[in-house]
Amino acid sequence: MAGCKLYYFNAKGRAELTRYAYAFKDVSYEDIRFDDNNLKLEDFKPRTPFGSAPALEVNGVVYAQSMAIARYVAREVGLMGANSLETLKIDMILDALSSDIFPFLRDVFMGETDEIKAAAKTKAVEAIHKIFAKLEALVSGDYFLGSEVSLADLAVFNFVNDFLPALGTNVDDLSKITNIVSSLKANENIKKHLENRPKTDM
Amino acid sequence: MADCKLYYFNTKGRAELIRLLYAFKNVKFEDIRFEDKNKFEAFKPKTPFGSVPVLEVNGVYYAQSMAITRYVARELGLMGSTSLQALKIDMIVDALSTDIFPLLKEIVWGATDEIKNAAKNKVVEAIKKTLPAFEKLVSGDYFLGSEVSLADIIVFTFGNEALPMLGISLDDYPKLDKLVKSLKNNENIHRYLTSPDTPKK
Repeated sequence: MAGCKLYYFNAKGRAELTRYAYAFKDVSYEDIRFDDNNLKLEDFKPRTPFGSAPALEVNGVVYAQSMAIARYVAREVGLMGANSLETLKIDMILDALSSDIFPFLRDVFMGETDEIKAAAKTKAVEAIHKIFAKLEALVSGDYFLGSEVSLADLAVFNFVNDFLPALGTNVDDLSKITNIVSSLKANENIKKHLENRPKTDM
Repeated sequence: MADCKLYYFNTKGRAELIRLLYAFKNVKFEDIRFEDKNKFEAFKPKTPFGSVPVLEVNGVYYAQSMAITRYVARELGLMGSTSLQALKIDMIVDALSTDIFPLLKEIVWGATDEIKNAAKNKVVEAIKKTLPAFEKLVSGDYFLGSEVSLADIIVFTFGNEALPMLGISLDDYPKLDKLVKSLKNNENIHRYLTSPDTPKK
């Protein structure tokens, strides 16, 4: 799978999960970030299916949609489980995060008024605690699938490590989730990625 | 493939795509529908997130409609034959299910007429961009070429229900138009859509 090119802004945002998947398995790829000198999103858009980023270029073909890309890369590096039911469990966890929590985040950070932002923050924190309590029950052994790390663990790590602090809450009361997060944080490949990645707000 | 039990209300909602996949491939499954809210409330504690649809496989409950949809599609051979084909399918599915479908829901369930109208305007704008993109992605008869996949089926439901509801035609998109008509005329899909047992809403 040599030579995939990932295109995104100079931010964590919707691309970081894919970057974590590559980093965790120490697989190389081109991590291209739009900036005014090298490549602008406006110039790149026509090459994408929907005019959006992130985008992944594989063998000259450009694919879109952040979660589709994350799942593809996870499949290629061996993070989508060993069979179809394990993949279903991973997908279930990814979707719980992206459909039950993420929708609130847009208004938390980009809400038109402070009132909207505050209301969204309250709702987001409520949803987070509700969903994470359920995720805790799905951890089977060290990780969601047992002894093997999967994209589901990385997605939880991504959320807890990179997004949760800005919401002023934590999930420290959940021991298994906390274990996953600290275990991944201590992982050599993840550590290297956290040290080397550009420091960005989002 | 394993015996599967699908649990949902007696409505289309988030289960309909799953039911349609099974119908398209003419594969049996237990289609359990709660007759009333009490039955759902009794079932809730057993579910991973307190929500439905839920798919029970070998005694284990799985949640999240799109995760279930992808699983069933895999089992039925509707997720392509390679990882890159699965990526193409996922990309198309996500473009609809994450970017467009939530807006469609707001048109129907929005709290005020203002919210409903705003959603309608937003979705019409979004669709103007999505349809040309989808048209380019059709390769041959279907998105993957000659084989039908989950991408075609979800676009069929969109073209068959949502677009007419919004008064948007596929006249400018001949490949998509042909794809939707082809699936509408498919024997298994037609039988399913016209069956009295199939939820109408």
